[in-house]
Amino acid sequence: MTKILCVEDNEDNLFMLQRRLTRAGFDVTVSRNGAESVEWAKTLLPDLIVMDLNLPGLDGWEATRRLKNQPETKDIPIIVLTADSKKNSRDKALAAGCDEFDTKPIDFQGLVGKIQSLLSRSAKP
Amino acid sequence: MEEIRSQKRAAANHSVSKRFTYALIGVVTLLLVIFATVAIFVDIRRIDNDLQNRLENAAKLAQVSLAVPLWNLDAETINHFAEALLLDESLAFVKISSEGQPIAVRGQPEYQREDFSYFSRSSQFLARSDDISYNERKIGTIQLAVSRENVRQEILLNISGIVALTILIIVAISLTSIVITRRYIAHPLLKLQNSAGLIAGGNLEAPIDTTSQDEIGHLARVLDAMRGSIKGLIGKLRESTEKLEEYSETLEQKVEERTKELSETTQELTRTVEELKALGEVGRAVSSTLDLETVLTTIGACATKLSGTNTAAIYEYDEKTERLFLRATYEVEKELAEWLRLHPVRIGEGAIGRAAAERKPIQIANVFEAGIFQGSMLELMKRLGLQTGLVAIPLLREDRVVGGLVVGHKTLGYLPQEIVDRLQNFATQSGLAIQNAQLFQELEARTRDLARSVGELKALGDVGQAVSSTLDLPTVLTSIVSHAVELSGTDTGAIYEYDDKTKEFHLRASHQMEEPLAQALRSNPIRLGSGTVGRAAARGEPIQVADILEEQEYRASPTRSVLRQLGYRSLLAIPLLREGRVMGGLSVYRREAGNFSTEVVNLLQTLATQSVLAIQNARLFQEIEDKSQQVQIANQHKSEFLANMSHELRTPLNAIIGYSEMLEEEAEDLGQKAFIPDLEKIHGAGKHLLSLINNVLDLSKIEAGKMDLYLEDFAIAPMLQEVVATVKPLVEKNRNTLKVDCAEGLGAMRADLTKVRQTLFNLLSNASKFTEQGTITLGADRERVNGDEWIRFGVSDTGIGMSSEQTMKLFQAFTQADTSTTRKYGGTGLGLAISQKFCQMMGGEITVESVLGQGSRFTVRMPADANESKAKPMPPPEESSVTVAHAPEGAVSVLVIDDDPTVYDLMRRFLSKEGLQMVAARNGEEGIRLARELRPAVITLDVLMPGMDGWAVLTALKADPVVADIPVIMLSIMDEKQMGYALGAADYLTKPIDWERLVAILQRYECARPPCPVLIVEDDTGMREMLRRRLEKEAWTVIEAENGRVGLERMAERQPDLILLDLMMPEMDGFEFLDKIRQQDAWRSIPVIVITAKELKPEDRQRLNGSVEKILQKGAYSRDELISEVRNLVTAATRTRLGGAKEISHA
Repeated sequence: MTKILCVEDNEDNLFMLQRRLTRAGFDVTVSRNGAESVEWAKTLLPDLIVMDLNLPGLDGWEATRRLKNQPETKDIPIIVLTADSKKNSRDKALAAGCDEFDTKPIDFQGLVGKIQSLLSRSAKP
Repeated sequence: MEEIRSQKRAAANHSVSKRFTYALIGVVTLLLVIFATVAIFVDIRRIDNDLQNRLENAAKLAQVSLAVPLWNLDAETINHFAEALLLDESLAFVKISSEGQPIAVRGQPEYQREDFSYFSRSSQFLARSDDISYNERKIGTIQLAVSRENVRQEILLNISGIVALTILIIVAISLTSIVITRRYIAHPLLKLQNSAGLIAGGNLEAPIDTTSQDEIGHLARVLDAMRGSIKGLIGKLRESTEKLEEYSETLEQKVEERTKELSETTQELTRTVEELKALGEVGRAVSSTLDLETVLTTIGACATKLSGTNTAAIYEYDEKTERLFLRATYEVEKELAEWLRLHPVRIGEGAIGRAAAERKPIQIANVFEAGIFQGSMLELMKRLGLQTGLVAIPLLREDRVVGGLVVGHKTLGYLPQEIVDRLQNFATQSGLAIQNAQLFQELEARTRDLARSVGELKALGDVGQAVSSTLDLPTVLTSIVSHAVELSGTDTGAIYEYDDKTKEFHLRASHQMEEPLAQALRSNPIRLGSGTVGRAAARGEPIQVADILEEQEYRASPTRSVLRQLGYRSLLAIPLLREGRVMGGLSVYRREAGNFSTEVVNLLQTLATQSVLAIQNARLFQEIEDKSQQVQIANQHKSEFLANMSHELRTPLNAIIGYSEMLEEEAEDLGQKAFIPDLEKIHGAGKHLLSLINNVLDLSKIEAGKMDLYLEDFAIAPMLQEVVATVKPLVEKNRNTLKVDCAEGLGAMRADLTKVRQTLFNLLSNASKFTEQGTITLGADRERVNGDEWIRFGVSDTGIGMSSEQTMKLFQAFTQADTSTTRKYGGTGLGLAISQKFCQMMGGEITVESVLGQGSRFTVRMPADANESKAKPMPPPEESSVTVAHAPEGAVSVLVIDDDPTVYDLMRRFLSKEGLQMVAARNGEEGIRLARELRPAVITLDVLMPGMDGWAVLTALKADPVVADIPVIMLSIMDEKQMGYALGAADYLTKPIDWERLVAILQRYECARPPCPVLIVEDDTGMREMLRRRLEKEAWTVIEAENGRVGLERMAERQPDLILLDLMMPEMDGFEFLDKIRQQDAWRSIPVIVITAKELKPEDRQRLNGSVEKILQKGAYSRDELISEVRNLVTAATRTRLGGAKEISHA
């Protein structure tokens, strides 16, 4: 089963995301802060990471940058989710190396579509 | 004169009359001598003859008488005879002899012894010897001698008689000839000589006596004729000289047009000097200088020299005070001179006053005895031991008193008339000299004044320029203080600004100020009421300190000691006041002690006014800048707040939307269908909230100018397909049909795809929302206007439609056509506003046509290439009937006609801060053209412009009915308000511009935010519709009401600028409506135009009187006429009202 790591500090959103993604048939692991997620991803090696940007401690941008810079996790696709619609948030996230970007509130179907397309892309090579 | 006199003398020596007399005497004498000679000769002859006769007679007598005695030799008888003969005294000797023997010899006593031979030999005697015969026989001889002595005596007598006669005759002749020649020759000749002399001397007016009828008279007449012709000739000569002068002057004028004034001044001077040269010797001495004091002193000196007197005093007459003022003295005691200087003399008083009054010299034998002098003067003179006689002579010029000359002499009594005459003659010449000197002084003073005022004007111009061209306060103040110092001839100066809070003056600008002084002024701020500046400000008037060293009061202040150390002696402080409020102070410092002249004080006050203006303008601008900065900051805060807010809102929304969606799914899975509609509502509300947040964010981005365009090329048809697919569910929701009507070959366009898509989606979703069971049509085509490609999308529906009022507000943010609409149809009310902004960003626009109840049609026009067309103007929409295109945001409020770019720039800065749109024209012609094209709310007009000046522009504007009613505000450096108002200006401001006032005036005139709303209260729908259409075309916003009651409701919603009112209406008629609105303060001044079909009764008119602008009778006008009349009135009434002058007229 496809393993997805959800990084999110808001309990409600984390719970909802986990529940809906699980319902959609994914194996969901959750992490509540950036530093933790970077560590876990090394051992967990998920197929995809959904990353919130505003995290306590190490924020989403930095976490993404680190994930994309450590050899074990650099090939894992990352979808960044944020409530911040500012243009520079998006640019910063893309610069940090994320593969997709989505704003909250999430269009769940759209998110699932993005996950699937990223997975199919990474599965091909 | 000398020549004539010598000629006269010569004439006397060789006078004709004398010569004539001499000649006559000579001739007469000669004649008399000849006559006398002849007479004597004849007389001698006669006497000789007589003697001869006597001798002969005696001889004959002897012949007769002696013959016998001799015969008888009777000696006795013979002797008796001889004695008898001697009785004739002329017979000197008788000798009678016989036979040679003398018988009787007798002679006159003196000749008794003489012998006859003596007598016969002497020429003195006539001798005769005769023989006496008796009977033919010689018997004796008689010898007789007659003395010629008597003859001689006779001759002598004759000669003396003749000589006496001759002398007598000569005397008579001489007298006669003298009388005759004098009377008839010499006198007339002398007269002629005199006349000729006068003519020779240039006096052509002297008459010539031509009464005489003789040759001299003829000569006189000829001379007179000659005088006449000489006079004529001289007249002609003068004329031609004048002509020549005139011609040369004209020529000169032409040549020296630019320096005309200068040359006139020079001419004046030259003439003055020429005139002075023409004065006599004394006059020349006097005129060697034009300094009045020197001239007068010279006159005094000359006068004393001329008259042999001791002292002199010269007075000048002042016409204003009608007094004679002592101007100069010569050798007058200093103390007395001082007294005289302090006591000007009234006409008619004292010696010189009387002389001036009588216009002739007055002599005072002794001042102490005259009894016409003031006691104090006499006392003074007594104390000084002065005893003096006076001659007072008025100085006249063209019979005008210009002054007086008084000479004093120690020889008490009257001076000889000759001296007085000489003095008077001299005074006449001096009068001229004084006048010339006065003229020269006046001229000099005027030149000085002129030069000074030119300097001042230039300085004021510079300062004005500085005030107008920059808002940088230090620059302006430095310019002002430097001009103040230079123009007032002081050494340094400073401008202080007053701080209301601390009540202190702070140094803001200085000129040529030494650092220690500046330092002292900076570190010791002046408090209000202390220091010269502080006191001047407290009193509100200039204060000067003539000598710092002598001023006791403030010697202690540290600034004073610095001033003293630096050698400053005097200072002048001018307060800077605005409407009585202290703004600051201007002070100048001088190293010289003494008072400052009134001119300097006035000048500095003018400069102070400028400074006030500069400070005021700078403060005002600072305030505006501050405010706009605050606004900017607030705006930024708002944007940030919105951005943060949206972030904070999104997180909970995420949960709401997500959970509701999730629950919907789960409820379906669990078969709990009853929950689903409720969950859908939560989900929908969440979505609505999200779209609201997104729209608000978009809008704030657009407003902040942060909305970016992502231009890309895309094919139009696929984009439309996509939109249609997206919107389909919405369309079908209200059971509408979507018709797509796209032209073939639409091709591609370059624009922001997302925004085009969003716009179209928005329009389609709106159409779906407001239409039920109708048709929605999406159209698209490509058009070419003026060589540019445009893409046109149309979205039309058959829905509820909108009123024109609604369409007006359609594109404004947070405005749906009606507040109730939101409740009924949902939506954020931001969609159209955002869509319109998106289109405008890409150089396009959205227009709408709508008929209430019939549906709406939105048209989106966009350039095919957004890049290219961005800067180009939009082509006009094809239809114009009910179309209200975009709101006329760009309507021009102020037209500035001024050639000075700095004014224009400043004006734009100020006006844009006030939210006023401005267009500038750099000259009069352009101004008039723009005024006609743009019809601005207000025009500001400069006066001094190259080419057509402000007055001409103003006249042209007021003569053109299209623009005549636009208020014109004159802005000029010249203060000619009268002229401005006379020509129809609404207001007049002088430069430098007082911005506060200008803005106040502009706001008064400017129709604040076009379009102005007009309320139509009319029950006739057709009429209302007509009026509405007509007024909307003129960009008015029309509010409609079908009766008075509705009218009041509408007014409560939005206050109109004007009301068009019908009188006959259901529910609430016009009269009642009027009464109601006149009760409200806010509404009372709104002009009302009554349009009625009602025949007005006098009491109706009475009711309307004073509360309506105009009454229009529907019947009296055709519909078109009525409407155009309304249009005119609406325009005029609004302008008049805004112009502040309400005019009520009744039809």
